[in-house]
Amino acid sequence: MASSSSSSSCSSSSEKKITLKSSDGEALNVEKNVALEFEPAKGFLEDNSEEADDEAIVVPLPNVSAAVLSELIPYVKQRLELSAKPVQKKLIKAFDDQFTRHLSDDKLGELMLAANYLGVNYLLDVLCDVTADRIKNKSVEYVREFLGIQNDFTPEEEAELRAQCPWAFEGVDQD
Amino acid sequence: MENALRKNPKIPKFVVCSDIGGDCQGGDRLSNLPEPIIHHIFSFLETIDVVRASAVSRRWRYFWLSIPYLNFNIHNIWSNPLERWSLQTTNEKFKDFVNWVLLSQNGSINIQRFLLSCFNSVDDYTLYRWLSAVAQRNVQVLDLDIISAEPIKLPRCLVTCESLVSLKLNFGNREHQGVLNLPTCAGFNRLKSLDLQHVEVLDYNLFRKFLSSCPLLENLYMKECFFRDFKILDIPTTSLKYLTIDEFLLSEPKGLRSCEVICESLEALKLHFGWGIDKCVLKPPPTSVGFSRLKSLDLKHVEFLDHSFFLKLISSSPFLENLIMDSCRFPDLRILDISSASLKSLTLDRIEFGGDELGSYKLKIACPNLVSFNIFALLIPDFNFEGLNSLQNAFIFLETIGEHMEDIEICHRLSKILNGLCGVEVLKLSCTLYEILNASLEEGSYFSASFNNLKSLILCVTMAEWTVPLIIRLLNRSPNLEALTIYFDADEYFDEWKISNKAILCLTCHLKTVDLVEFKGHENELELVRFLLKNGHVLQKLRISWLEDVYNRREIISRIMKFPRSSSSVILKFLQPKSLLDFCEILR
Repeated sequence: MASSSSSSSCSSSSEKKITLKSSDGEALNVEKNVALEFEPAKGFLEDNSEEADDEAIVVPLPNVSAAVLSELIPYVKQRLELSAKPVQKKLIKAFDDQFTRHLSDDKLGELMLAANYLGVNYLLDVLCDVTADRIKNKSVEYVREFLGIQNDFTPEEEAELRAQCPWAFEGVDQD
Repeated sequence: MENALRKNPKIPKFVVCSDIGGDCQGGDRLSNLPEPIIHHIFSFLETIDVVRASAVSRRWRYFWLSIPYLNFNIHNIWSNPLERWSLQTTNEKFKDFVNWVLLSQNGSINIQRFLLSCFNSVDDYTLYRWLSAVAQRNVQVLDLDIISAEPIKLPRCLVTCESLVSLKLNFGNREHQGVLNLPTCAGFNRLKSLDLQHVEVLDYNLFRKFLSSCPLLENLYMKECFFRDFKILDIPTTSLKYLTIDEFLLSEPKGLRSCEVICESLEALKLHFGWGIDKCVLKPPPTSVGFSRLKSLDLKHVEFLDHSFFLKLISSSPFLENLIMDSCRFPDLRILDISSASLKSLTLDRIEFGGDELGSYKLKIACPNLVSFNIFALLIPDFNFEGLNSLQNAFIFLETIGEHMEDIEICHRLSKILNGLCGVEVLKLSCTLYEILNASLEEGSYFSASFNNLKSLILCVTMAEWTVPLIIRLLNRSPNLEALTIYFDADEYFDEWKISNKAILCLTCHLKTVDLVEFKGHENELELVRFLLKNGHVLQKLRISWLEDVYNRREIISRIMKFPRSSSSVILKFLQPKSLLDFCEILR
């Protein structure tokens, strides 16, 4: 059922298409200029530039799932269109805000790993900023639970650590 | 305690497996975010958050010791500190904390960015010491937001620091500016960007010397700075690409009267002079070389004493693409002539001319490559357009109709404008135009052209009776229209609208999207919705953004849902309020 055509949300543009293959084996069609925003795809296309027909190229992206890719592609596409115009920064900011506002914490993490792997730095910036915002001024316990990190300190160690720098542990938000 | 907290349902989890389906492959890989990403996240946090994170786990314990981004802001380091401690205690705690971090961190790690927001008291050398310390650690970006009771002096080692690329100083607010004692030694060899906000500068010669001694300075931004006793502000650098002066303040209104810019290298110049003072005169540099690289010029409250200087400014800027003039004054001028082959975007906002007859000035615009044109004017100006063949976007905003002007003159001027703009793809018109527009459209002899290329029409309308015939006429003259946006402006008119169903070409064949903004569910608005749904055969989207405080939304929605629709695929959406102010955004 999962077909390649379902994910290409593009219009009838005559732009050249490239096929990306996700970690779970799905093939996704994207415009070449969008594919070039992904570092591994860019490298792959440069290495295979002698191939006459772009349509025949399949770029493997073994670290990103189809679900994540199909969220990234429309974002990158729209962001490219926006930055091609001489728009004000606040428009781009509003667009980024809209994209990140409703992201679940899970999705945020997945996208962050994908943006990092794909080298989409403007997206990584935005996602890291959003993550920072979600753990800003929160207690140690909150951050542990938010990120799913086990506390591996002994109680004595932790108490000592906190005593060294008391300023950091007072005046945090309620969990 | 740990167990109790683990069950806290209020804490969202970064790493939950979805309960539905077995898609659990994520596991706890997110707790092992790669170090560069963790550093990246930390770079956005206050340093105190990073220090606190050292107690999260062993792996995180020493991150803070090597983080090259330090952010200290006394205003949000603790939530509501003044409920717990006095201002003085808060200050002391803050100082302790910054000292502790600077003391503990590995001194061999270069500081990429140092953000500091705090208070500086008299005879306290703490700030001076911190700045020396970060200079020794090769700080690259320094951003200081300081409220100080005495002049601030930058340490010599910071001025001579070879690593500093960007410096931002904010010493107050609109009401209060802190004094910067300019360095007397040469320095800032690598500085590319200097941002001064609410800074008071005392010595004119020193300021000049200071600017001309930064050999790589590309970006100079000054907002609401106070230049005491300056007669002229001249910016003499050879490397500057972007210059912004966003208002400045003076000890007395007669202080600074003119501004001289001598930078051939400039690509963007923005001069916004303040409300409080008379308009500032922009003077040509003595050795007039022109702005051979200028792409963008944005002027507000600037007076051109000599019209020929303006003409020369435009003609000697062969790459000028974007020109904005807001409340600029030309005292000796009747005809403003803007002729440029490079200009792509032009915005004229309330240009002032000499003489007392408001309506008697002329605008001549000859820009073959102009794409966007925006004009905000008190009265309808007498335009002369020449060869605007590339024009795609136009925005006409008039404040008043011009009661002193003869009707025939108004119609004449308006038809010149509309004929000149008939090739545009996006057209935006303010509501004051409609009464005259209606009259002029009636007079077929004045305005004959159709907007054959028009794809998007944006209107701001009142509830006056002439609005409906006008909308219908504009639709009739725009055979290829695809998108229609209407802002409803609350006003004194409450004439009742009746729109008779009649086939309109663009509604039958092309109009796909309709946006209605500031919608309050008035009968007239509903009548328009009914008409559009009934006659829009290819309509795909109808979006309605509410006005604030409309309480009977549900009732209005249910009425709208009952209207008959000619397009089977139309989707109705009801959106949160959007401001009428959006209407005033210029087109680019």
